[in-house]
Amino acid sequence: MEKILFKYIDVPDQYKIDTYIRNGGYRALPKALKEHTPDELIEMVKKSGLRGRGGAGFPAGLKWSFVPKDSPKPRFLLCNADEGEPGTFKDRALIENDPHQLLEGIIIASYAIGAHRAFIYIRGEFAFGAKRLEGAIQECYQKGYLGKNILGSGFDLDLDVHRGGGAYICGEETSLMESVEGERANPRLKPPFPASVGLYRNPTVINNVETLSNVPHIVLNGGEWYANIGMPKSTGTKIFSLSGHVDKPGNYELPMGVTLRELIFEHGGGIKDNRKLKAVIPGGVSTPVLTAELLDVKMDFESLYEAGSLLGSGATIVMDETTCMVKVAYRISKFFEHESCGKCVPCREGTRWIRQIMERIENGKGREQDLDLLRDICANIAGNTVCPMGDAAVIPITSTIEKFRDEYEYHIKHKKCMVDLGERFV
Amino acid sequence: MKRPMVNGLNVLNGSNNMVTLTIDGKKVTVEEGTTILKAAEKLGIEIPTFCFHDKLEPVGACRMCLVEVEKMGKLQVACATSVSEGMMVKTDTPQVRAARKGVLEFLLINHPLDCPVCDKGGECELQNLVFKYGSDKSRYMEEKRRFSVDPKSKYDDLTVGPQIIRNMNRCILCRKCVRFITEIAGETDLGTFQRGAKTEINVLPDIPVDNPYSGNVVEICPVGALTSKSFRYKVRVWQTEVTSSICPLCGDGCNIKLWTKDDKIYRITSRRNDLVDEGFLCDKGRFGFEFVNHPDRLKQPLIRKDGKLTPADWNQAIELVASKLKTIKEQSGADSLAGVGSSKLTNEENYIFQKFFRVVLGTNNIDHRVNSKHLLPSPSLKANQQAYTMTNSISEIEKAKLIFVLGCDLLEEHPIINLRVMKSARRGNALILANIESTRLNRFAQDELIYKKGTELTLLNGVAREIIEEKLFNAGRVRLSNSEMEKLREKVQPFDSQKVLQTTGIAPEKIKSLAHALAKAESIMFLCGREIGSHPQNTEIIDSLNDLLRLTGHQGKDGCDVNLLWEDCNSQGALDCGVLPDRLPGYVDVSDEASRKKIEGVWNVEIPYKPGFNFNLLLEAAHQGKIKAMYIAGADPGSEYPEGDYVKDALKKLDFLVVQDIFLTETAKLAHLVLPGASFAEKDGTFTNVERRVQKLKKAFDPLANSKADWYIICMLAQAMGYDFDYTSPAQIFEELACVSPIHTKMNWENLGETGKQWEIEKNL
Repeated sequence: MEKILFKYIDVPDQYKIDTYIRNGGYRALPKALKEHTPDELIEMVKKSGLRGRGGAGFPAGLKWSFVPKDSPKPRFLLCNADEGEPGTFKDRALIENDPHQLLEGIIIASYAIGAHRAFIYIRGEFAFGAKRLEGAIQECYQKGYLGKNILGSGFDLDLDVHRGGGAYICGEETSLMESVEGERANPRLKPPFPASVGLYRNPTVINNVETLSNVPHIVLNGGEWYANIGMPKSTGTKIFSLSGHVDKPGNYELPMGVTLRELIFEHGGGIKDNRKLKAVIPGGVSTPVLTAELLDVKMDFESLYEAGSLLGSGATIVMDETTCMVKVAYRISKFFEHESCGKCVPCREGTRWIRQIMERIENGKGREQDLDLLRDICANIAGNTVCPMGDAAVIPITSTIEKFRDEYEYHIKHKKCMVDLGERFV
Repeated sequence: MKRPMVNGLNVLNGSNNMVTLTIDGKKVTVEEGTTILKAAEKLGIEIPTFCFHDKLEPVGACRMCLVEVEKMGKLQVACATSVSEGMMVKTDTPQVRAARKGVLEFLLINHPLDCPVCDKGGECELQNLVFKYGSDKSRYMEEKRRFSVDPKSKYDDLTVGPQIIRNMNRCILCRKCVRFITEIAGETDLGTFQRGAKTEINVLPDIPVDNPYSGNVVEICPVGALTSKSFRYKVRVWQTEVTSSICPLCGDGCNIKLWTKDDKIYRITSRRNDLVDEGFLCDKGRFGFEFVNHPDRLKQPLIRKDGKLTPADWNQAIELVASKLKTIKEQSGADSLAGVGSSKLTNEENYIFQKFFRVVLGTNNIDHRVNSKHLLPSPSLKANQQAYTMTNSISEIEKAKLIFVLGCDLLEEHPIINLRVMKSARRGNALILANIESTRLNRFAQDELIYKKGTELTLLNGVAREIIEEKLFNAGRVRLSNSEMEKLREKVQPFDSQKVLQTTGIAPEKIKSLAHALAKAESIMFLCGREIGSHPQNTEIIDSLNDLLRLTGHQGKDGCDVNLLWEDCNSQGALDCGVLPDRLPGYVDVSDEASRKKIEGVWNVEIPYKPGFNFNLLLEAAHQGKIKAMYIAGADPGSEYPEGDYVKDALKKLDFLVVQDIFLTETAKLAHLVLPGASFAEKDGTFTNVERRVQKLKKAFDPLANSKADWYIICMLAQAMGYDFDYTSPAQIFEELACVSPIHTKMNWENLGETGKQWEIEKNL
């Protein structure tokens, strides 16, 4: 399969505008500006079936169409480059190695929704990525792809990079906007949705890096072309960030619907040291864990949902037989406790409590009633929080208790891990 | 600055669309944009909340108000979800109950077992809601989170302000304190630090909470995380009695609750009146009650014997006053007697004070205005005359498109009106300040003009000139006749930008932009304060402001007017009740025979028709020996008059000076006889605030020691002089006031209710 997003990812200097143009870049932008109206572009993206690649999978064209056409308020386009979901490192690759692909997508998207101001919100830790982006943006201004009257179309756009301060919650779109506004990054209540009330209360569209990077290709080749790749309801390609106990961890761009087996064994080189596969987290730590029997599940939004998990960001974490699932759940619970923004009671207090219980279980001080207690705490959090992070925080706990209950019970009864960690665990 | 909104709907636009929904099987119809919480309230259905506050933007943080809404998968927060047509809401299902129990459990797991030592016990939202909706068993066996202040101490109290102590362990992070300070008080003292379970409410290092509204965070905190130094550990709330009253410290007239036990005030909290204070108090009023139970309170009458004031009993004192006044009246005539009432006594007290002088003593020599040498003419309610009051209402402030504050430090003189002005500015309305010095309110203002003391008239004339010369006014809207316009043009002609700059120090650009702002505004409200009321040219200034209103076409419009804000808790009332040499209660002209008829009928006496001396003239007359006796009740001209020595010399010349007060003031020290009055907490009565609102205060305990309520003392004196002032209560006095005073005629003790009533004023057209 010919790659779309990663076609030139390994070309040195691809981040420089001249190389990007030589490799076919910035052909979509003039086409969009000169041959299409904003509405036509929205229709094109709708037709392509492109769904958000940040984790939620919301249809991008539909989101763009929510921006009220007759509002006199200024619109904003925000690119979510926070890439906070543990296990995900695809956006980083796109930003560092092919930033202009992203920029071209941002400019086209801004034109489509009538935004004259756009921001890339990039996680603070990506200092190098931010530098690459700022350099690319400067090149765009010089060449007239940004600024006033882009390519003589009459369309103005200013684009800035805004670096985050190190909070997972800033990947949540309303917290992201709060952060851009200089406020504490607490999520806002939805409704209203950003398309009507967003940045500084103005209509705003927030899209993931990978989502926007697809836009130039859709404009060049048409919505139908994109819709014919992948699966009917999950179109196009997906970059899977494969990590864990595999021989060849890394980013793999593959058509939606590729099986987990193919991803791990054909592309990822199979399990390291020829060990047995035990569990896979398919789409980042907020997604339910899958056991080895589900290897033939297709990696797309619908199929994974039917299998009891989620595609999420496509961060596939592979665990072999030497993995203690209790330790995995404990480690993830520490992450969510650390990242809870603290605004709402269930997540703030609940994630700390969960971590404390997991800590006891992991360290041999678990009690029999802890499992039911954990499930109860999770039930009191899920669905009752301001933002989806509460739901995300309980998934690792509930799914590991469901699928690996025996390991928990072993920990509680015997006060140690069920699996033999060997010398691998330090 | 963020604009208020609920769920994206701008709730400022009062919508006329109505929505009908069903809550727990009952139908209710409300305005579009109403939240489920408010709609349920209308049905009397209570939904528990922690982080919700009527005057703050809803944040949906505590998750306590989650309810079931049909067709919406997850539970929704009632405080921030707008109703929709046909919505079906259930507030008492198993899922809702489980959610509430869950939230409460989460709050309790780290909450310290401080109830036995926590001030909030007995009025704590957490206690109350756990009892109602929570579990009585704890499942938490981990280590509780602790916000230690001093590692060596077992107490985790942190002083965050002169009055405020924080215990972060008790905090449930509803953030109402921070939100109040940001959204209402317009400050940044308190902030939120860190995130997640480590989130902490704190101040910046070395910058304590020091804004004038800080006490509100103690009241607004649902638990005992924020407590006040003055109330800490003093008494349990269930041991106290609560009495409704009105704050006596400024003219805003905030509604308060007095919490007392055994004749002592322990604290003051808000008695929320949305028309006045919206549930907030300033620190001055909230913490300023120590004077009531102060050991220096006068405890019994004092008579001067051999140069020293010595204790006496009431019979002696009253007898002495009565006989002295009688004798002096017989020897030197009624007009050798004079009375000074007070802007701090109640309406009832001021009323019978002036009645005492007119009926019992037969003179119009009374006044209460002891802090200025430049008095305004007495108000008149005739058409096109000045009423010299606040003609708009406090609740109209936030709707004015342009507020111009002249000669007033609102934060200092009227803190609660200051909040309203900030509210108006946040809504996008314009605000311009002009004063002799800069004030903190300027953060919300488009412009601030600092002029040299006393030069207001030049400033205003300069602005009027600019509007006229540059033809900034809309000819179709001007409310001046051609000849009036000509006269005005002539009057302001000399005040060009150079002259204005020289006299006032204000740069021409500022005059220009002020002129433009006034001319363009859709509505204008003028607020005038301390600098104006006692100004040598006060009448001219008020006239100039009215000219500006007519020039810009706003005179007579709703919400537009010139407002003079009187300072004390009953300055307006003392004026209203006729403690003036030329006015009877309700501004009836004392020399107008026809209008006097009614009150003469009720009093059954002929009132002297010659206007008496105002306070300045009283002093002069006392110096000249024309005034021989003075009865001063509730006032301290010795301290308050601009020339203290002049006052003291005048008073020393009197044959007989009786002073009635609650402390031995500078004036009282000069008296031949001192009568101990009672504080606002020890009597029923009414105060009239700046916006002409008559509000009731109730007695919390009897006058302390051997003091008596001021109204009672005046009645005793009248009785001793042979007149039947047999009132049994202030309510009775008020009924008589309502009978004789044209402005109080629609009021009675009952219909004043809990929120008071304003007397009506005709607009100057």
